Amino acid sequence: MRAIALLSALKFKNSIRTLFSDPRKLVPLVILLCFAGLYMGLIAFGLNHASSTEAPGKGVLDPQIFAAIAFLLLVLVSAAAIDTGLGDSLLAFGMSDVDYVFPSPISRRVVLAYKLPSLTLYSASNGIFVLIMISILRLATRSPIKLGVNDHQPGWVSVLGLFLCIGTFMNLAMYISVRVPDRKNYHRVLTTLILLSLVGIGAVALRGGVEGVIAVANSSILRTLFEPANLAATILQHSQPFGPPLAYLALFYSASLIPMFATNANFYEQSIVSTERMGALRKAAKGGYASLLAANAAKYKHKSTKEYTLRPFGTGSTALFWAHLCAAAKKPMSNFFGPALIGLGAGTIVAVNLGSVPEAAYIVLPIIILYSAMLFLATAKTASENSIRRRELMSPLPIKAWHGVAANLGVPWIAVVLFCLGIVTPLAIAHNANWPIMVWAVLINFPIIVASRMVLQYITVLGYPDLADKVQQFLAMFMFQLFSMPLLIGEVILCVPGLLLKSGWVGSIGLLCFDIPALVILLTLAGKITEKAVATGEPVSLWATIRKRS
Amino acid sequence: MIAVEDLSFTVNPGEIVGLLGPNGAGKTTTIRCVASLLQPTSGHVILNGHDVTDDPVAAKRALAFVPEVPNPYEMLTVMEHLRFVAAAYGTEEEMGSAEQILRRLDLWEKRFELGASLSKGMRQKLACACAFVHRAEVFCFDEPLIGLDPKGMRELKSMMVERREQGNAILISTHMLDTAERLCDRVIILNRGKLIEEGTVAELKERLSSSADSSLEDMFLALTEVIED
Repeated sequence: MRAIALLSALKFKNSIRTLFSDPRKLVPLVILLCFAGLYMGLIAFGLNHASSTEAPGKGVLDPQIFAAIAFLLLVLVSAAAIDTGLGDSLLAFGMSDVDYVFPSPISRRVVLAYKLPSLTLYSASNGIFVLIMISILRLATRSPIKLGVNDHQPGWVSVLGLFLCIGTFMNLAMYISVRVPDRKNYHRVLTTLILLSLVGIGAVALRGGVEGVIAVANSSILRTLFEPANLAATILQHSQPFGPPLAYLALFYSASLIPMFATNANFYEQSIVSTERMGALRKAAKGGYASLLAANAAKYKHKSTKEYTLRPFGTGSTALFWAHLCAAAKKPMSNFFGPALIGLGAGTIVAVNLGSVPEAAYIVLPIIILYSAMLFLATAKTASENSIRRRELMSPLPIKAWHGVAANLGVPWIAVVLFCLGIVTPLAIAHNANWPIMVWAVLINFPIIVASRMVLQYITVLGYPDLADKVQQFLAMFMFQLFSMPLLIGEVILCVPGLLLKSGWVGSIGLLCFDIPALVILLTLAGKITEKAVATGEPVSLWATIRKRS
Repeated sequence: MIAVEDLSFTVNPGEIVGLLGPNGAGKTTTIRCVASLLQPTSGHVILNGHDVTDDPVAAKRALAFVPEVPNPYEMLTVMEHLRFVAAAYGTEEEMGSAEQILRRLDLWEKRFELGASLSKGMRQKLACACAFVHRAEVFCFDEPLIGLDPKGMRELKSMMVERREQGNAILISTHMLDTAERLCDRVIILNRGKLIEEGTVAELKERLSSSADSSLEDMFLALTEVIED
């Protein structure tokens, strides 16, 4: 244990020292910490006071509906945590750990304890994510923070409750990872079950409306199976004193650590497989296109006997787009059919709700769109990272840099369009109130808004290209959020005339007038930055590019 | 797929044994089983009297392992690597030998540099330095000479010889057949996961009826090509 503590302390000390010697990392980190501190302060102290003037139940959303949504969201996150345990990622250590810690006489339990801080951090970040989603839901529905009788619950209680709930399931997931060597089939079964549950909830919503969903959420089997989620949802509702549920959650969390540390299963082999797979991809990403292809080929072992998945077309950047399309077509379900089908499902739920409970539909549609935008941006980020590592191959090609950026982001963007098509099809068929503007906004505005964010993400990936450096990756995420702000502010301002005139069309056209030029400017910038990146092979800052241009 | 099958061998104290074989023969799998990184589906690995499956901590206390491609901690300096390894094996008092080991491997000047800034050869040297900094009885080297400069190679070989003279058991996987011929007391030749020949170079020559001037390389190629055919 002492050796592991020493290792962690030395790594931490040197990371901090490196961080303070590099202003490019330090400045954004300081800004990030200020934001995080402000946000946590608001959660802990500010929001309660701000909302205390509002009467319980005043908002659009009934407390019962809120409780059901909060519980189901937590069930989903908990199931996803278990699903993670059946995958590869939880057991992936650093390559250095495999070389230096695994062969050393440090016991496997201590090695698991060494993994615990990152697991805790992961649980905490998931907890904060859920809290943000809940806050958005409250804001969107103008529901007061206090929905129940307990007026004295500090903000940190919700954060802690969510962390303990998700942490419990993450610990169980870790236990599964360690104990079950061949998890592939279990993983598939659980993923299918999660998807079926979602479809089931959708079907219940179709047949029974909101009452049906509440009945599902209140089912005693589900509440018992996901008792920690039940307790966390109780804390979020502020409906009773937070002490007992928080104590029970702490008990669940502590209990979940017992099986993890009681087992002395040898997980090194599985861990090495996961670590080497991730390490190979990371190294390949640094090494260039050919090695990345080799690593991906080793991972997926595609069995196609055809020469090409798609018939070749185009020249220049179109040929590059074809290459990406060809690669994506080897996994058509996840790249094309999946987004379209998910969009179709979401669109059906919204269309049905528009007929029966329009208020709920106006809440559900933005949430679905926001969540899917995050997923699509995550996919686009991976695409950006891979594209940028192909500089060695790309630089000699006679393609304009911004054409190359567009070609690289083309496939993820097609998935967005397919998702949107899926959403609008039931809306168009159902002919609900306001359907033309909803179809227009989802099919035209949303893909353009996402496209501009994708390009912005491409730029931030260029600025922080080292995948191995976790601090750098964290800062890249933050810088992306920071640069998204002006876009968001511009969009919100341009929505104001539409809101004043109560015309969705005015708002939509206003957004287009802003987003299309923004997209063009960002694409041009991304192209310029890519050119610089090709020339130097080093991280490129936006500021350096702008300065050079002027 | 079976990587290694029906393999049984012993490395005695005061002996250097070379593990040879073409690519994919199972050398790294064997070495990883010895280091208890992989679990054999059947059979046992006994290290210094301890079964690596039943008593991994005691077994690994006696082992020094150098992987094929060492990945140092990017955020640890050279000296900190040695300090951590000494702490992991509970042999901090051995840190006194760190300076000598680092000087011999030309790493002393780089002792305050982070792992991230080391070249491939330096990383290899660092992994070897970490192996020599604690009181190991058994050494497992997976391709230790790849990436080293000539001086580094010579120094590492002489350090291995010194350890052999001190009574340590050393297992080296390598493709450098001329080095194996000069350095190893015995060789084990694997092909497609099976042991195809074992013994001293002289014994191999006798068994294969090779001429007196034929090298280990000639015998290795003859053996593995016969199997291929």
